[in-house]
Amino acid sequence: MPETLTEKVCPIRFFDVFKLFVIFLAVQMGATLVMPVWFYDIIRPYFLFVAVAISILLAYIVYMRAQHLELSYDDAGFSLKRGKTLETRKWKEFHKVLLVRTDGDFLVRLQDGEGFELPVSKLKLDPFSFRMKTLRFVEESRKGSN
Amino acid sequence: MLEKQLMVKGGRWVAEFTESERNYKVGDLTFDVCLSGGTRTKGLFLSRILSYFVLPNYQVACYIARIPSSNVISSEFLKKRLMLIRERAKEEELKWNWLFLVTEDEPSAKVAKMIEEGRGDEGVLLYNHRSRSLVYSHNLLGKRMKACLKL
Repeated sequence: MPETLTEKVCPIRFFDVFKLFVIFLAVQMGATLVMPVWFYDIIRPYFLFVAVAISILLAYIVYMRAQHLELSYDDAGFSLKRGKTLETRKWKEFHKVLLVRTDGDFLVRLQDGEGFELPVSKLKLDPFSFRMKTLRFVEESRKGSN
Repeated sequence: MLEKQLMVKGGRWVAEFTESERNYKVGDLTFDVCLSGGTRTKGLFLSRILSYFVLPNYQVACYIARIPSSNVISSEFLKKRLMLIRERAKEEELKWNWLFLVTEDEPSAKVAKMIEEGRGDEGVLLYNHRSRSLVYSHNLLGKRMKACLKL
């Protein structure tokens, strides 16, 4: 199904990459405190450059593997890829569409038995217009299935 | 636009509307939008603590209905809607409720007076989408909502 979906949204959230970068850099800085002094003396001239480079690389890898969101959709269904996990659903599986605001983030909550949440703020979509689009997809697919 | 005002902008001074549903059915009526939430604001650490100790923890709802003309508003029209809102409020323990009516024409003096003098605890507001004017019930909820919204 992902190959047939026409619309695709996959923005890179640079602030999230930056947060991971800071964490990895802090860990490497902390590691210098427990290093033997002779070893630290050897790496000291290159340490900052290497630490920054490693932090950027690790932050990007971890972000892409665990946090990156990719939404593909068309009028029949959608698939949401979160890091390596892919979930594919059809609009007709849902009967209710809610726009939900959590701490500053908007979600489009699709409800059936268990429900599904599309993190629209994280996907950098306009929550109000995307909710209307979702509502139209759900209503049309339910009409089509009846 | 009204929904955005209530969820993101001025409406947050009145209540924290966290959920919005389109085509919401109450009894035999369908409201275009139903917003629900609470009076405790979220935010960062200090605002959370402050709102926990200072603000009441009320559940609230706001119903928005588009009407073709303000001429359809009568005391029966309002009574029916407010009755259904009260019933739902009782079932779901919603303490504060608002009814927003959105129209494209200027309400007559009679309709404006009817809304302004509305009895009951619910805030009733009539918003003219074209002229961006607002007629509101002169009770606590109506006045508060009027003061906070920048339409």
